[in-house]
Amino acid sequence: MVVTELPEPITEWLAHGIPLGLAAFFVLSIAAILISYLVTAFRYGPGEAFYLTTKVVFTGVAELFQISPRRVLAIAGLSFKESVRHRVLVAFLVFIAILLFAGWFLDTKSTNPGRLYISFALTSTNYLILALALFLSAFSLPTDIKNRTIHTIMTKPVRAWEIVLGRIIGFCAIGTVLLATMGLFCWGFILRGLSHSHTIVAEQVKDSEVIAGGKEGFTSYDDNHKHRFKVDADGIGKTDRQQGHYHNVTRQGERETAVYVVGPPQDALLARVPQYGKELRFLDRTGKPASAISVGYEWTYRGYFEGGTLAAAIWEFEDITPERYPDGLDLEWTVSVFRTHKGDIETGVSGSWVLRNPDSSKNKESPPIIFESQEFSADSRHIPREWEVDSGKVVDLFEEYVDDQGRLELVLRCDDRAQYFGVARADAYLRAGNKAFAWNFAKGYLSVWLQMTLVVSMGVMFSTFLSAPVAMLATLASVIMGFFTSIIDMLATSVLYPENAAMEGGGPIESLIRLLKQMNLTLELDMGYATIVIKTIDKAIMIVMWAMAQILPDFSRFDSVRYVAEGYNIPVDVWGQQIVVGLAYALVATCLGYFFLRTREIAA
Amino acid sequence: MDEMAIAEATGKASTAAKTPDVIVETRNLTKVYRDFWGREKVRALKALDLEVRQGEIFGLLGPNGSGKTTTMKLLLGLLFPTSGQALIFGRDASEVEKNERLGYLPEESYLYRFLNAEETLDFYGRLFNMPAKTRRERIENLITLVELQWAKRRQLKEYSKGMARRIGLAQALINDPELILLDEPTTGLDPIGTRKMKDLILRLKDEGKTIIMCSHLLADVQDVCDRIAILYQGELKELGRVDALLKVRDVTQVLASGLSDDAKNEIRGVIERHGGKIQSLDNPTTTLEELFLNIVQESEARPGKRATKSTDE
Repeated sequence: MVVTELPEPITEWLAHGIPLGLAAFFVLSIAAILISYLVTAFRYGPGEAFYLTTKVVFTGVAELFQISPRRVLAIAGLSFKESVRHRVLVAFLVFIAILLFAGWFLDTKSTNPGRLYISFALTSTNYLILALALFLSAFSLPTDIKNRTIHTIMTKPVRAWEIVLGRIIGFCAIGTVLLATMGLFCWGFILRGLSHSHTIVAEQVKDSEVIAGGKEGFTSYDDNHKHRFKVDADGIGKTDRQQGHYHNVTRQGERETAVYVVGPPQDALLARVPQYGKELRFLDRTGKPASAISVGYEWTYRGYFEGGTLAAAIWEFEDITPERYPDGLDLEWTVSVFRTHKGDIETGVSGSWVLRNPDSSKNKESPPIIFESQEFSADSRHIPREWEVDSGKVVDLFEEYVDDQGRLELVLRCDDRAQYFGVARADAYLRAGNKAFAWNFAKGYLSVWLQMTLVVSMGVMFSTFLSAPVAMLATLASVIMGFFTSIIDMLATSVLYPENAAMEGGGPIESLIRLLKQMNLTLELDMGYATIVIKTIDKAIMIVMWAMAQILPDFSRFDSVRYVAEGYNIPVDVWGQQIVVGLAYALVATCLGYFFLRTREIAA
Repeated sequence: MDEMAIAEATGKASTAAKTPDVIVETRNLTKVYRDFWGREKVRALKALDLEVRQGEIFGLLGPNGSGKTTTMKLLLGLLFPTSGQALIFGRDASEVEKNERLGYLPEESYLYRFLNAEETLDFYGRLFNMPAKTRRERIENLITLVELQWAKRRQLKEYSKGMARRIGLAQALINDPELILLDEPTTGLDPIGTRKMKDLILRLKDEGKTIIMCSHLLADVQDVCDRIAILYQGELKELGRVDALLKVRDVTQVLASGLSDDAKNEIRGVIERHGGKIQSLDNPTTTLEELFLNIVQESEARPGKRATKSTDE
């Protein structure tokens, strides 16, 4: 399933994130001022250094209020023109070429071509625009300094803020234009890639056995798939779902002259809004509340429970009202199966869903909804509002299974003995509706845009004090480390606290020695005093790595492609966080860029 | 060049008359270039003391590598002094505010080659936060002043060196500065261009601007500068008014034409009779060149000798 960790609600995240962010900003600023003081003191002596550091800090703040939008825009405009005249648009041609030839390599037989097309289009634009942002931003200021064009700028009443800001805004502007154009092309690419039609040969359509007066049959085989379809007596119906979509089918004409018309693909591009359960709890085999069983997998994300017993997983949903679900509930889920015996490998392990009223005094449970597990792919079932329970009694599910507070329990059981189901909270949800796919697609591009802004501001920041190739490498390294902050963090803590290490094998030097000596991970490194030295150096390296992982922006946070591709609406909790984090880092990079540029000798 | 154009382009010049007399001052200004490890590489400027006053043309003179450009960059805040101080309009040179009243023509016109003349001036005008209307007027006037109307829509990369120099000067004047720093203003210009540049500098002076120029072209300096400082290997060797520096008191120069050989011999006789000694009867050389070469030779013979205040004014 698309999400493994449900995002924290944006309000809560902001409530503890903003104070934390401000505190971090404050502490790091103080640290930066202290470090600059020490460096200056080494050069000019403590008294002079104090004067210089205070002066720079105060001028920095004062000059912040002297920023003139006209000057910032002048430099932004210059950067924009510079990029255009330096043939940045070549990147766009590369992009078009990629899209033109992509069709050859994308697997149209896949079970979900929509996901493939969307993730390809978004990912390719993402990397292309990041590479572009990297080159543009890292090369701009160093080129200015090398060509000495900066001399004519710095001798005008331009504040370093304006240079840094102007550069960032200019490159973001060109990036935005490119990204928007690429987005439009991708949109066309996806629509064109997914659009197809089928034909139906009227002679091969048979009378339906299920629907009175209805017809059924198969569509033609196009784009590597065909559909089975049914129409009712009036000649209106639809096909089954293949490759993530269905078609509407209508019959025109009567009897011998009847023609079946197949509409365009429906539901191929979705932005589903899931409503997740508030909590997930487990029952053990005797039906008592318990924690889930570990089946020994490394990943402890999912909890397992035994089949053929009273064990169950229970989700509690809140706010289930007829207003929100006028047509009944759409339940979608995925389960992981752990088999203790092979059983019939052809068929999936069977399971069942039961709707239950949380008000135990009423003791109301629905008849089970039986399903056969499909591992590694999602399953769904529509639960109609009017429900025929045994012996023709029809009940309204909102009256029967939802309690007064709008709560509902969904109980999952595994029906095969000695087989196990594994689930996590995000594995089952009710589909609360659909949002417009185009808007979701745009939100996907917003994440790309934020990544681009981050790379541009970091590139400009590094280029204020490094030469072009070094600035580019530094930015690239930051971005790559940014994508792996969580792993770096885990590795560093494992080395620093070996007693509860999540990763074995030690730091860089220790693991190198292990590699060379072909040592097993479980063996202790035993080299006398050398071991102590190696471990100490490793720890020192890891402290630096850990600090980097804490400071650098977590780029994996900006990955929205999976949401768009899997057809889920990107929740505000995700894109709201992305905007706040992206802009906060861009701001910090701007501040750093200012101080580096202000304190360096331009002509040296 | 058109007088009207200058007057328009440089606008209300005389408003700066009430500023303090000394516009630029350096105190013990020293610059040491260091390598990556902080070791001393070059001592580019050694304890320079200078004062430039309102309304004068001040020349910095010296061979290549003597510290002229370093001095300029220190005055502009592009370099930070190792010790000592550079003050412009009484404020520290590292402050950005001074740039409002200052114009700078760099050694080579370091401009954006993908912009055309109008775009260039418009860009620099924006950097002075000038409103669009003012910008348009000034750009028009300055392009007329530097005589580039015919090429104003061409990208600077198509410009010849002389044209680039002229557009460089135009950008230095975009804000109607009170103080103008010109780094080798005549390099790359043909004789006519050089003449025009010198005329322009003199006119700017007439408008009350203060000009600091550095050059190793002695004729230029001699023609336009009121006072000069001669730098050699980062040290100030000579400082004073150009006319005073060039007056050699115990030499009398006779310049005549249409004399016969007899007449020349007679003159020789008269001079010898009075105990004089004829040094030459040729055409006079550029005396600044001689002065300059003397200083360079003397410096090499006796390093460490520094300028004294005696020749000043």
